[in-house]
Amino acid sequence: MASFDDIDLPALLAGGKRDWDRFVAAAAPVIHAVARRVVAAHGVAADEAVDVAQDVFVRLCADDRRLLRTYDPARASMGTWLAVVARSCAVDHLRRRRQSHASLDEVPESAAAFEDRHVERLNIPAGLLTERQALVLRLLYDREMDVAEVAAFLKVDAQTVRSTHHKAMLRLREHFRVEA
Amino acid sequence: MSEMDPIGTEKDRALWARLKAGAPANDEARLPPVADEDLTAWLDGRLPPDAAAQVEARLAADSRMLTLALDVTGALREAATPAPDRLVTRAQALAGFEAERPARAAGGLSAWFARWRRGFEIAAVAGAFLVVCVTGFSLGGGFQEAYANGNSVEITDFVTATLGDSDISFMVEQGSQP
Repeated sequence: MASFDDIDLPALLAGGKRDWDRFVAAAAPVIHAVARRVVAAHGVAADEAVDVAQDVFVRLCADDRRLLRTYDPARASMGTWLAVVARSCAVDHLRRRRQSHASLDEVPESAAAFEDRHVERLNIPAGLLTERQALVLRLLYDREMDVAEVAAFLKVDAQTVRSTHHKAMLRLREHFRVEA
Repeated sequence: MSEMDPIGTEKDRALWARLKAGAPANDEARLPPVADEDLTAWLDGRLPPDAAAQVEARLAADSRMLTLALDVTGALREAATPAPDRLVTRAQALAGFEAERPARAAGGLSAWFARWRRGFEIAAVAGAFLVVCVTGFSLGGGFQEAYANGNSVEITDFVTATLGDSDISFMVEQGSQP
């Protein structure tokens, strides 16, 4: 499988056909994986993932690769950057598609919730938990993730997650006078 | 939370549910927005602790952004699965069209030539056609040769001798008629 390490970024941005082909070979699995997830979350047929992914490539390529030029290797790896960009493009693609095909009443509730920009605040005094502790609790309780999954997401080991959870619950119990 | 890997107690869960209920906490703590670039850097573990804490605060509070982050990490894990060939083929074909744009947009002689390329092609073909016509006409002698003899030629002009008796008997033997 092609790797992002093989990509010569300046040559790619200069418009080299061979560099573009190499880039596509490396990027297609990431972009398609993102498209599959977005399509599934919106309740759209899985076959659409290829069209959604193709639209991401069109945007990367358009206007003399303007979007691709915004990538800064110093800030992030190519794979992660592409996944974030691809997800935004894919959500946008499906939003436009939905606007042109369906009325609001036909939109599944889950899809509408997916777009929700509402910021949910917990009823916890500021400063009681650290940001990391709040995030760990959110992932464990709201997203129902495994300790291992949380550890992988945060790039820490499982024991660190357990310890963070433990300390967070101690603080919460103490503050709200709840016995364990 | 997975039943395979339990963490926390029922009371912990109840406490968390209680904290989520009720009115949101102080509006004073409206979180600053996190740019995609910062989220990307956080996902790669490239943010300094202070900036990372800001992103984590946002992730803990913003379910949309948390979903985005989880999707991205999930997709990166799934990226080991090859993409369909038709996607790769179609995406690679995009560069053929786009590669021409910079040449047209650029300045200089090559850009000028690129703009007038079609006209040059037509002129070159027309010129070649003209050269072939003129050369062929000249080699054929032109109008002078064709009209020099009054434009009338009869078959008798080419017959210089009458048939003799031996010729006639030969033709009779061959089944011809005189």
